[in-house]
Amino acid sequence: MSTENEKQMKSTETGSAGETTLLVGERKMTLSTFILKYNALIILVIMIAAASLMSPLFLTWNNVVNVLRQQTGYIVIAMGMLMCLLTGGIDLSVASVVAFGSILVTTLVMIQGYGIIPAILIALALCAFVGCINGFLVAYLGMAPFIVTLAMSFGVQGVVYIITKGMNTMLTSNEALVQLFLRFGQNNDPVFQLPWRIYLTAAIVVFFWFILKYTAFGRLMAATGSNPVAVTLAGINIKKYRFMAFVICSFLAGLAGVLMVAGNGSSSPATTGGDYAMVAIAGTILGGADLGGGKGSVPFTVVGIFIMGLINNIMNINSVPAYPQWCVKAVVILLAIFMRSVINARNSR
Amino acid sequence: MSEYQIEMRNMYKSFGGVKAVQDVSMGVRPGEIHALVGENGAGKSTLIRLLSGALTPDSGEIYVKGAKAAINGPKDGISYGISVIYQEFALIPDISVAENIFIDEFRSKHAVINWSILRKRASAFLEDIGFGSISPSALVADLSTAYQQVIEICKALSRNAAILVLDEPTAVLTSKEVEQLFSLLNQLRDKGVSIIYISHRLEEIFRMSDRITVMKDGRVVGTVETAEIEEQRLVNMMIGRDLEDYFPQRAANIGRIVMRAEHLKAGRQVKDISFDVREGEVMGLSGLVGSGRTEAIRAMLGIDRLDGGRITLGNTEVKLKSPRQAFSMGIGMLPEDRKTEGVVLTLPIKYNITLSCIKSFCNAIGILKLKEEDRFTLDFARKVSLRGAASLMDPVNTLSGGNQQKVAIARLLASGCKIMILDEPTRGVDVGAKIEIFHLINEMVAQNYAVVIVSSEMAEVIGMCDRAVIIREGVSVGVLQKDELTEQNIIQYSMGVTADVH
Repeated sequence: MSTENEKQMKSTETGSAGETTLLVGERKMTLSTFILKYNALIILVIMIAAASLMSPLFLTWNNVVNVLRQQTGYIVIAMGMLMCLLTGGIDLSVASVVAFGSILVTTLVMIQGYGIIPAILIALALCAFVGCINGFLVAYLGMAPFIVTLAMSFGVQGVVYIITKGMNTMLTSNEALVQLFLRFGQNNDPVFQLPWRIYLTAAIVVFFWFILKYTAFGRLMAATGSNPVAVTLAGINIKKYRFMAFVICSFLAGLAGVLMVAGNGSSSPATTGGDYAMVAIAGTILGGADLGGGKGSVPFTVVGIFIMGLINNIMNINSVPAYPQWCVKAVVILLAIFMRSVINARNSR
Repeated sequence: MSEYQIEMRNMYKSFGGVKAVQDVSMGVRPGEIHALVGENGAGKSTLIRLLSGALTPDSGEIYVKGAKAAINGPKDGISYGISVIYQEFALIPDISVAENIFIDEFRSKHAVINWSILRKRASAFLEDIGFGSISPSALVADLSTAYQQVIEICKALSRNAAILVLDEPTAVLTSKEVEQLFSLLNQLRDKGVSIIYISHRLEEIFRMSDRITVMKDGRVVGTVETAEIEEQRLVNMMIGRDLEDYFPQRAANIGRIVMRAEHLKAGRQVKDISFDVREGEVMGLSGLVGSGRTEAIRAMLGIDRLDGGRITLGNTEVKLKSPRQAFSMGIGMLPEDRKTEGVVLTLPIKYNITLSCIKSFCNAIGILKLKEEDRFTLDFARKVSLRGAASLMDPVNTLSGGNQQKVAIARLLASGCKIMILDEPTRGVDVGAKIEIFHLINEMVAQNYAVVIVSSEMAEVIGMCDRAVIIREGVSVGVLQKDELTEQNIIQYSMGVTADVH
């Protein structure tokens, strides 16, 4: 830079009062931005407080562990869903893929005579392959993710029923590795008495949090959904990230299926009708994600899933029957999103 | 009766902690074109939103014909005869001209529409303002941008608008269309309509306006009679400091040709465009809006399909399939539309600056060296003299337009490319930021970058470029060297010699 230019820059820097420096100091956090940012967490805290007042059973060790364990599958799936939503996609096929993963493990071991480890690897690979198809159709052929994954959920459901002929399969074997697998799914660790599954889930959550925060891959994944056009023009191959999001999502759904087998000791084709996709989407959205892409975070997605899970738990321990619980879920989701849009609308006025 | 058709007194409006409009008072006389000028972020847009009722002021009063007006929403603004024509038109593209003009009436007046009367009334309106050639039954989507603007004005007139606010009306028009607009505005002025005219283009302001109000940092610097002020003084008022030279000088040190595009052909708009650019040179691509400049660039870089032509880098012929590939070969591009293409508005400033070069901050297993990235981004933010950010983690949409553009340029500089293609680098940017961007371009050239500027502003091409290729209707029709770069020459080439005949 020539000295003349430097002088010019300096003079422009001191040109207008209030804007003299590069950084004008911290922007203050107002109440509304606070609520906006911690929206999900606030709801969760309120729910926990209310629940502990309503029932002494709520904050017992057993119940807390129970809630944690019940959410493990949903959290694993939600990590994948978050990747999809970040890139501006959505995956409606996860319930079918969860079932696909679980029936593959039991079928391969019990009927095809595979060892448990190859069975798990094959199951995960085939689930990831489903994600490859989704990703290819969306990213490279430009088809709408909603429709592609909707169709895929039917397709995979069909395959699941063809393979199982509609039958449940038990995983029973005296083989040491199978026993280990089942113990992993059903037992607690000896020190803290927490289910092993919780540790695996926590590890996955930390892994994705790390990916999004500390790697170029995660950074570009989130950028892809924020503004695909600008990101493409900045020289980024957004197709790759869109594709990968679907692969990751299906892989994690398959993993959730495998964990389900470990937990239940069996698989059922009826899992295809599970609420996995809807809970994962709802939890991710509660955690700040947006169907438009580019928004959402790993920790808040976990919070969102817990909100969904706690609704059930709170009402169960207060003996509210199952059917009204769905209505309450609807109200909580709508209230949370309502809160966000009201504040957004007010801020932009 | 007040002297003013409309008057604002002591208007205030803040967003969070930001005082967008502070103690603003201004009045517009009947039959006056009143220019409202100021850098981007000076508060002009907020002010007109307050006037139209799109925003409600924190305090302050609005008087229409001397009587206090209660404007609490957009409908109130319309009922007081205030019509704002924003840069993005509020027309419905898939219905006819007549329906768009009388859209308000569909809600209230008649259950059954009498199409022939509607069309006749629309015709009458259009003829009245000298645009009888527009068919009232044409679809708005089929009209040119200029005609769409005419329809917007017609719509305002059908609401008996006495106060018309135009926000950068010529930004989207070709020079011929600008003339049509100006004669229309003069007509309206003669009919007693008060016009508030917002523009960055000084020549237009001096040509059209009766008085000028200058805003800066949310306040009114002053209101002056246009006839009594010189251009230089007006610019000084706008930026609040002296401005020696609009276009900074640079020492030309032009080297060998680094990129050559020959006979580019793409789609309907690019028929045969050739140009080249040398090291240390600013090369302009000039021509009317719609002549195919941007389209040629896009096809060349592999954003759109290239149907024919040769691109040579140094001595090797290349085919560019995507912007990514272009970047990897050292060709960086600043897209035309800042908000949708240039920056990612919702992402932090930092992420935007390193978007194109993020991979260079990864270690062997793909983990980012965040500290290094921080230092790097701060460095580049300083280099482009970015201002108005509380933190580099603020999303880009918290910045003013000029500063957003600086972020986009910082990203380009950070990418390490040596050939820079800048499509409308200063569009919608205020005077202060404009000059800073010109300085940045000079700096690129000083470091032996090759720079291509696509620009609709003739002054910019003349002031900044060492050479310019003129494009007319998809064909490069001529090359003008520095000493041949005059408005006269550019117009002649870009409109074609035949245009002078009729």
